[in-house]
Amino acid sequence: MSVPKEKQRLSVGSERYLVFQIAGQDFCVPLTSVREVVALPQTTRVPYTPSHFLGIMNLRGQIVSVFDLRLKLGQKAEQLAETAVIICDYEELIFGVVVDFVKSVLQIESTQIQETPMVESKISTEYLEGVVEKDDRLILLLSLGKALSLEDIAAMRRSQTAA
Amino acid sequence: MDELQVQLRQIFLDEATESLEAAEEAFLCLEKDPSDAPTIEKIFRLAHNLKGSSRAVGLDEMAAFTHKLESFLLKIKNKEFPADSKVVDLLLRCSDHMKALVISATNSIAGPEPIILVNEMDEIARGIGVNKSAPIDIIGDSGEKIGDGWGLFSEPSVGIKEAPQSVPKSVSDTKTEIASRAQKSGQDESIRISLSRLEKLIDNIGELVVLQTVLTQQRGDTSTQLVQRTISQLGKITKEIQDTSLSLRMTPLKSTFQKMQRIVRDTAKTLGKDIELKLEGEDTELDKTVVDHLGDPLVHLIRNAVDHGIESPETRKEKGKSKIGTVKLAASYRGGKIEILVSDDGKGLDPKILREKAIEKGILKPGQTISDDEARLLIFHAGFSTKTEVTDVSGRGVGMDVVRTNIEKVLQGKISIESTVGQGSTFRILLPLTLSIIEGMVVRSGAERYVIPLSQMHEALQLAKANVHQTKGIGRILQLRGESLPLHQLNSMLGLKESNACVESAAIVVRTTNEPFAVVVDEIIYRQQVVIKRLGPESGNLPGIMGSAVLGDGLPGVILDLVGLAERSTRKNATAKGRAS
Repeated sequence: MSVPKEKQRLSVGSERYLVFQIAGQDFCVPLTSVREVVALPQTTRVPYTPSHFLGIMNLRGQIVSVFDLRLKLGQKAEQLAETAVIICDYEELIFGVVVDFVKSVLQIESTQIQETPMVESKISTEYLEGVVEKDDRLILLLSLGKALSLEDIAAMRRSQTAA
Repeated sequence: MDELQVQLRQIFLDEATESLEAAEEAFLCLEKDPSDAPTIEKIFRLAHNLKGSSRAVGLDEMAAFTHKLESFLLKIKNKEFPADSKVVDLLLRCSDHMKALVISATNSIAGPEPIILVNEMDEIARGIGVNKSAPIDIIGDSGEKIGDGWGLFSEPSVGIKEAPQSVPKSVSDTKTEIASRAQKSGQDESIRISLSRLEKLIDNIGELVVLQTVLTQQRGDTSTQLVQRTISQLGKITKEIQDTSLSLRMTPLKSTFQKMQRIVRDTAKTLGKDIELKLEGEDTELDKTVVDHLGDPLVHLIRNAVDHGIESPETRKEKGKSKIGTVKLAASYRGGKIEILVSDDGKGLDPKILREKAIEKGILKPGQTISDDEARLLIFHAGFSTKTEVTDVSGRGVGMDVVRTNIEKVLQGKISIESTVGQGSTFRILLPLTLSIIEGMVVRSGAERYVIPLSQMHEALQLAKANVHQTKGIGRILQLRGESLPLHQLNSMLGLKESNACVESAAIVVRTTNEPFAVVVDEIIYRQQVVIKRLGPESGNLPGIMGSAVLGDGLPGVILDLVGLAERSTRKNATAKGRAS
């Protein structure tokens, strides 16, 4: 019904992004996929899960899975005072990702987003949706879906609810 | 379509589903007593409401069809033709069509065409009511939209006055009583809340309880009497809120039970049997999830009773039984559980025949002896069917095993059979009231704490070195009162490093499987009632993990299914051995 219009508006106009840092590099994700940011609480490990799956946390009575994005991107996972969990809402999946710290919210025009350059980097470029240059710094536009292979999970979820 | 309209339509569709259920119930009443005026009146009112409101929310297809249906019903009401079983059959199919329309409207797709139903209605109306002119001429314009639907009102109002007069007085009194009772139960005041909102509320209340616990623990730190008293009162209220919030998920079995009426009727008709379904304890309340999962197994058991249990009318006559078979579905509370009985007065399960059949199917070895009770349980074996002829009614022996799996694995319940040859069988199902709260034991293994459902724990004991034997090949064995049980370490079952302490640790004995086993944990901490929370799909499909729960201190813990874990690790060991050889 009104969905195509909405999408169009998002892709043409500008959107707000949450900027955070991992190992000195700025990343950002669309603010619309962010629910809230909390300090890293104590988590409980779930057996038989990959190491970047930190475990589960209690978010006001709701059990939320937490992924350490830093480990997933091949970086060190240090626990500092600023270490934060970004609670995300990706296609109705609620989960948290751990980052070094959250910097700011930034308005980015879609025309500012450039294609990911093919360069040697520590971070796999397939997780990126583009790059933005802001005040001489490069911000990488991260696709949470790709980084955490959430597309598969979302599909799994859909098939579960359908069954 | 604007948002308000979407919302209105949603409300209508929910209501329509309810109305259709009520209508179906009434159709079946009508079949028993075709001249029951209050029932006819009720059906007419339901159809009329559906017509009006479906038009109001712009569902023209449904409005057109209900208009046809209403006119047809009006003729029944005016006694132009009797509501015989052929008519009731047609009405039931009409309500099926309406259900299909509701489903297609919910998914915003085009609904099925009602041409055949409309033609049949026309035929019946034409065939009998020739000399009487129909109050409203509907014949022939199936495609035309209704112009003057509201004009119908003048007719029914006359009908209401006339109908009771045509019934003899004494009968009419009881009828009115039934009708008023039916109305009362329909008027139970309630509001509709989405399950996700309810779950959110329950989550938040769970958090409230945790905070309250912290507050209670710190109560000693304050010397102010007022604060202390307030904290203890707050505690009581919090407990009450928690209890109430959990009861919100409870729904009566009524609607699930009512659906069985139709199933019995249709199945019996196909088989040429005359069967009455008696319902008891329809108001018994169960957690919504349990009710949702109970439908399929019940349908199967009921069909099975109608098909395999109850004999044909001729056989019943020969045996001196009443021609009409009875199937009973009853629910009642038994302690903290609920008991559901599905019984029939049919031929019963003959252990002799079952044994022969099992040997024939290779389930039992010839010469192997089993008790009568064990023989009856054979029907839950996969691929077992006692009826030589396969009917399209209740399958080919796939099903009873599914019933048992559903009840035991999904619903955490138990099923048993009692049966007397020639007199009938009773299936007894024992279920927990809810699947969302369990009694759990919090244990520590390594650095983590886990919750183990109390229902899986047969006993817990302190491990003494003397009782544990290390064997080559089959692992560790626990000697317990002359019995040898395989002893697993919880951490290694979880794919983690084994914790080294063995002397001070405790063992949990599990006997819910055919082969009992024991599990070593580092410490058994405390017992707690926990609310099960599902894990996300990224970790929720792991065998051996039932879900998660918020523990007493507010931290999350994983709920383990020891049986699933044991199956998983034996499977892994088996494949590892297979690879080695």
